[in-house]
Amino acid sequence: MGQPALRLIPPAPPSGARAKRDTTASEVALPSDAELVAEVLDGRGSAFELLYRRHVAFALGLAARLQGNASDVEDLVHDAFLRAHAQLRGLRDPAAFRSWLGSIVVSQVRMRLRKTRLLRVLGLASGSGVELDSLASPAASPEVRAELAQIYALMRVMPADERIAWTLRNVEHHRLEEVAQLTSCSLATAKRRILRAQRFLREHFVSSGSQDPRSDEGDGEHD
Amino acid sequence: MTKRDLPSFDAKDLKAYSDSESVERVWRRLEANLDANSSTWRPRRVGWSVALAAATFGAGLWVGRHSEGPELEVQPQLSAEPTQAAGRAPTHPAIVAPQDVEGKLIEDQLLPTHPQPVPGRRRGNSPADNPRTPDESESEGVDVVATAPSDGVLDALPSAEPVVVEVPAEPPQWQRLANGGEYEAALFDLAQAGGFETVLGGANAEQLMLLADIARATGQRQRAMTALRRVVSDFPSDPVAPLAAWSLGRALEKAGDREGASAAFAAYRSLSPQGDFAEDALVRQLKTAVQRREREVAQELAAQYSTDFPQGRRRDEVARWVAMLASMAEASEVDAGVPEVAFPPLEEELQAFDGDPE
Repeated sequence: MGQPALRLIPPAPPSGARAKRDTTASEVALPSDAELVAEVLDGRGSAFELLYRRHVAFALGLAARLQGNASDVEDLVHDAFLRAHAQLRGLRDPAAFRSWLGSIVVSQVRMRLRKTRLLRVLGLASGSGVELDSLASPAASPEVRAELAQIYALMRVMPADERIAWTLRNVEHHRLEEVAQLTSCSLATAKRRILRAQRFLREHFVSSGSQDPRSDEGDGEHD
Repeated sequence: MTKRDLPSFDAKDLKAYSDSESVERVWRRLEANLDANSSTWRPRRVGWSVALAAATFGAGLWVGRHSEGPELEVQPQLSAEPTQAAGRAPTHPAIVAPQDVEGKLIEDQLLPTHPQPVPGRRRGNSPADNPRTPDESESEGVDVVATAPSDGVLDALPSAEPVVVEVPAEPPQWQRLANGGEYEAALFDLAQAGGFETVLGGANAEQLMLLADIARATGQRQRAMTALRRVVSDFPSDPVAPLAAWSLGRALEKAGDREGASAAFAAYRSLSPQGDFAEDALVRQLKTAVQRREREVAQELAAQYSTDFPQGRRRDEVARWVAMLASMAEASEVDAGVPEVAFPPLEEELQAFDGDPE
């Protein structure tokens, strides 16, 4: 995979969109992502630990929500950071480390989802199920937990790309451009995947009551 | 049962992944792998990735064409009540949900008093509503959403005794926002939670580091340094303490507080004598000592460097500073008590020696 110069996900300061303000904030010494990347490339490997600790929660959460469970999430994030470290020199925009790391996580989850489906079809594995406790906050209401469980159960049968695109858009709340960048596809392809997933989920998602509709398809971004 | 538009989920509804146990576990593995010769694993992983990608690509195409119905087979834990979360206690006991001081909630607080229709439940759904899985939706859809207790479960509970349910402590909202990089929103939420200083007073090491991040991102240098100082002074045995000391040293250094910076770098070396920043910390201490004309201290630090890092990356730089110390000594012999202005080239030379990108 190439190293896209992503600058979409709100980066950990003082990088990305906060660069201007960080001109002042740079006096406060916690180094920026760009500085840390430079230090790692300069041979100061310990700077990588700072990068890790700054972004690991983001990576763990992203992987778990894309997968629908926390199974092997630690392995996945470990591999993602390892890969990031190995390919750091190819990162064109060091300030966009967080976005770049996200794209690595997405890529690895996609491979894992496809592999899981293959093994399941071949009868070699039962496949990882949905672990609600890995997705929902303990503070989430029973209704929200029920909705999450149903959505993720439905997504298990969707193609990995559609599932990932929909999750990035509707669970992670990334903009369409971000989804396209994270999944290394065109904006049109990202839209198509999200729409296909949306149609399938709408066709099958069932809930009781007549709560307020909270669709995001009407936000105009999908068209 | 009705169909409706799809729900959207707020960040507060989703589990936060700041569990320090996971973080430390992954880091230990990562550190071990990074320490190993990277060339031994890189080609292997690339080769494996290519092979796996090729295999899964072909299989993915095949799967996409042949898997029709939703396979709503859901693991048993999906039908569990929130009690299943009890085993996920956070590492830091100080992280407690604001509404859950003792880490426990009465089930009545967590769940509706009376059994309510469970949203998403598929019981009674007509097959026409679910053309792809007419059979599975009936049998499995119920389990999928049975996170709220079934009627049978509630009926089986003794009505007189409330059931105590262990609930894992959930990070506060500001922490969740900060972990997501939303520092301004986190700062706003901190204000709602009583203010930065209030939260700082009861924060654990991990939270203090996040508070430092928030303060730094919002341009509040003093608050950032206060949070870092708290980590070093109150949680010296926490894994993040050396990093806090290092960050504090750099903050103080850039703020012009050389003495404070030197103390922070000394704290780093004390907390992590073999740490990856130890060499840099020692050199920065040396640099500060030279800048402050503290010759004896500088000589001790230079000797320490020679002992600890005989092959160190910055030994040339240290050698230059030692030479500078010698010239300072000579100058002072000629004119004892020379004020700082007597060495005009020193700062410039030090700047030239200092390889830091500052």
